[in-house]
Amino acid sequence: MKLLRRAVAFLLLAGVSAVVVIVDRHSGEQSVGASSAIVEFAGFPQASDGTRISTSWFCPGAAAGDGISSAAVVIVNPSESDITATVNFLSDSPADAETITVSARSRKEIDILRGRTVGVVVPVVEIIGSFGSVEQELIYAAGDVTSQCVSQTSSTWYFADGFTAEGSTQRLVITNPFPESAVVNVSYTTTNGRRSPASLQGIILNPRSSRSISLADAGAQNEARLAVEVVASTGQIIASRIQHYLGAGRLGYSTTVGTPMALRDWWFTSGRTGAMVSELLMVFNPSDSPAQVNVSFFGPGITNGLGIDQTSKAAAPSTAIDIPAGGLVAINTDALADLPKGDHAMVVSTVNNVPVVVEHVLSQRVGGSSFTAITNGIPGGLISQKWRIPSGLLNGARNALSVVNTTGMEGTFTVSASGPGGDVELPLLVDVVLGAASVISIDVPADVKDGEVTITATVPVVVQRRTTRGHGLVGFGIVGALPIRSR
Amino acid sequence: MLDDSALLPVHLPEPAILLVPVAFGIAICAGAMGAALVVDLRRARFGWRQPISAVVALAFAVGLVPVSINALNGSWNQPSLALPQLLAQLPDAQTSGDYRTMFIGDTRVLPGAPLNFGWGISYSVVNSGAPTLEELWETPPTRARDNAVAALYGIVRGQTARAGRLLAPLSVRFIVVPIIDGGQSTRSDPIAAPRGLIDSLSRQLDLRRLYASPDLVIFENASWVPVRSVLTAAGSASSQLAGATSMIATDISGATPLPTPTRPEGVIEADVEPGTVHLAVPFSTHWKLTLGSTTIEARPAFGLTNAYDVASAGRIRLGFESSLVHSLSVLLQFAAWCVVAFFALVRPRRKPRRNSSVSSVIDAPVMKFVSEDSL
Repeated sequence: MKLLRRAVAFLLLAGVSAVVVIVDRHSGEQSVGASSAIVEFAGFPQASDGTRISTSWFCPGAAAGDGISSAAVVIVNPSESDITATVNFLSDSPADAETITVSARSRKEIDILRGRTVGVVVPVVEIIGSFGSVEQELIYAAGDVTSQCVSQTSSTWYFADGFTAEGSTQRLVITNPFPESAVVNVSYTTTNGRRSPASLQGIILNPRSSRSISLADAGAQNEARLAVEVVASTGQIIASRIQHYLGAGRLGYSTTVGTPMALRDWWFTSGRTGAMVSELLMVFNPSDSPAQVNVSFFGPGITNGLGIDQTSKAAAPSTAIDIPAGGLVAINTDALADLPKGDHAMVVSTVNNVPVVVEHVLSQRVGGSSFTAITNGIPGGLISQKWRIPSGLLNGARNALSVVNTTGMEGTFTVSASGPGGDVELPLLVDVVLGAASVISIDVPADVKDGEVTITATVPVVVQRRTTRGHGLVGFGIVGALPIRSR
Repeated sequence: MLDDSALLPVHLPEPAILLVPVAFGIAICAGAMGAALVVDLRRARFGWRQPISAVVALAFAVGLVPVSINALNGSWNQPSLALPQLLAQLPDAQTSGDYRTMFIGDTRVLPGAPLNFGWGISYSVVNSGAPTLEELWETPPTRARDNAVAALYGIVRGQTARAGRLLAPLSVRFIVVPIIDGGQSTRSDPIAAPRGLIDSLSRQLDLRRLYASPDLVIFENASWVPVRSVLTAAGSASSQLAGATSMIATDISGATPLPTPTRPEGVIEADVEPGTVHLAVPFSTHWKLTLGSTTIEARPAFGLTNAYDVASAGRIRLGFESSLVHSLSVLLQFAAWCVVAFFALVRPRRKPRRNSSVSSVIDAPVMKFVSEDSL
């Protein structure tokens, strides 16, 4: 009995000592910390389906002096209860704000310019709660523009495409939403190489303000190839581009937030080739190492209906294209592959793992007029099975939605729209079959309500949409949908 | 230790409370050992107990050596650079109103009474820049503390970029991430800040990085309001709501600070214009505000703190009044201590009886060691 007592006491003591040692070693390990707050690709347009206290949306902004008829942020509430949002208007004047309520299953447009006739105003929307998303819409005689907003700032921003030829104008808009000053350096690359004008170095951006920079005034006049790199040496910012195309094969208006990082895979679903079409992939390599990229195409006559074991010349990746360090290369898809005329999707991938930035420029002549649509690529890391289009789709629009299956497996997708009665699946767009590595362009039924549209697929897909330019203008704009990420 | 490492399903009470029974047990052990040494051992037969006792006494003596050495220069071998010295750069509360500082980081380097938040991160909140002795005790849970935890979720889990606005009604002006405390974490052997914490704080839209070094990083909350202040019109309107909507939707910064008392619960007097006087403490009607002879009722601000709507300009008096129950409790405790003192000091001791069960021989052992074989 005594021996037993001693053994029990000894084991108890040894156990406690062991627990102390284990706990002590455990506390010395590197813990998760706040790493989950740092989301990869967070600077790209996307939505989260997790629980949130609030979400910030940084939009590209609008230039009051460009003759815009109106500019607004569209705040969409697909949920069953009202949401509160605050719109902050950042400009070179002291920041102003407006708090609004968006009713359940509805949307609200908030004017950005608010009577201003000069300067640039950048809206930053704060939605309280887990629901709601935001886009920016401009009504303009040269073509209406829908732009995506992003939810995170960055210290680097890139623009692979830029254009100041034949009187075209390009503004770089830099925005500092933080309460401390940011220091920003801007450089640009043309066919003549990289330049870092002294006037664009060490730009002090005041707290909660935005500033517009004319690239032509900074020395980049009459350039048909113009990549821009924005680096905040202190602080984090949002950089966007306001572009007015007036000649040299381009016509139209565009606003977009930049690309926060260079990556290895970029997806585009709304490509097109044809007799009167010019399609360019602008590839900018901001790194110090030369990059090599190839392009793979998807679509009717390329991969649609092609069996897994079948090969096609058009479906094969292109030959590798060299992108010099710090260089900018325009890839003409017509010259790259023997593609059938019509619509296609494509992915630009680096062969040697050097990340690049890619933008898609589509110009087309229709009748006596023409248009230019320009869009950022969607990173391979954001491929998702669920996508959202905050401002919805236009009733009866043709080829309004392009969906590409990024896998080798057949899948289906369903399109639903949010309205006063909740989410409703669109007729004829339920369980639409999407073949392996195939692309589908779909028309929008005539009776779609003016609400948020959701695309839910059984396989990972990429979605972009074509928006109308209004005012009876020919052509379309191309805007990505918002991938929904689980957190 | 288990609680500090967040390995338990529930949060235990303040560890210092548990130290009372521990101290009691140690005191009994020490007393018994001393009595055994002094009274008992000198009459026992020589055996292993005497050498052991000598070794114990020697160990005590050896243990006193470093204490004596450290006491020589009066610094007790404290590190030359400690966290409070680094925090001396924070402004005096008198200049722009009294404020609070939140420390976030590894629990081993946090001052005050750190609470484990999870994922290897703890936090503590102190008045002004550095903790006082009172702030080494954990405060009881309140809605204000829950709100601070919500803000921390926003920072640590990336659920909002407006954590600063959530902390503003609590008067949290500075958020400090200590890395070197001069004690457990030194420059030669630092305890790194939790992964991603500084990046995450840098993405908060209301925080400006005031100071960054390998020792610590200090962020200032641009939305803060002083502990005692008169809110702006926007802040006043926002204070009538509750929850995240009231705090995130509006920037309440710019409040006018009121005088700072010497004690946190101290009384202040000030001349104010019509508006909303805000007191950043958990809502309580025991905080009384009088304007002249008129008492102004407190209302919850932001669903958390105290607000008083002052309709006309004048001199206000703001202070804490204890409840009757509290006063009676203090009196009762005082009476209990008097009773203890009486029995311990004043009460006459009885002489030992001859026929007691205790040995009647004065120098008889109070404790007797016996051979285990005889048990």
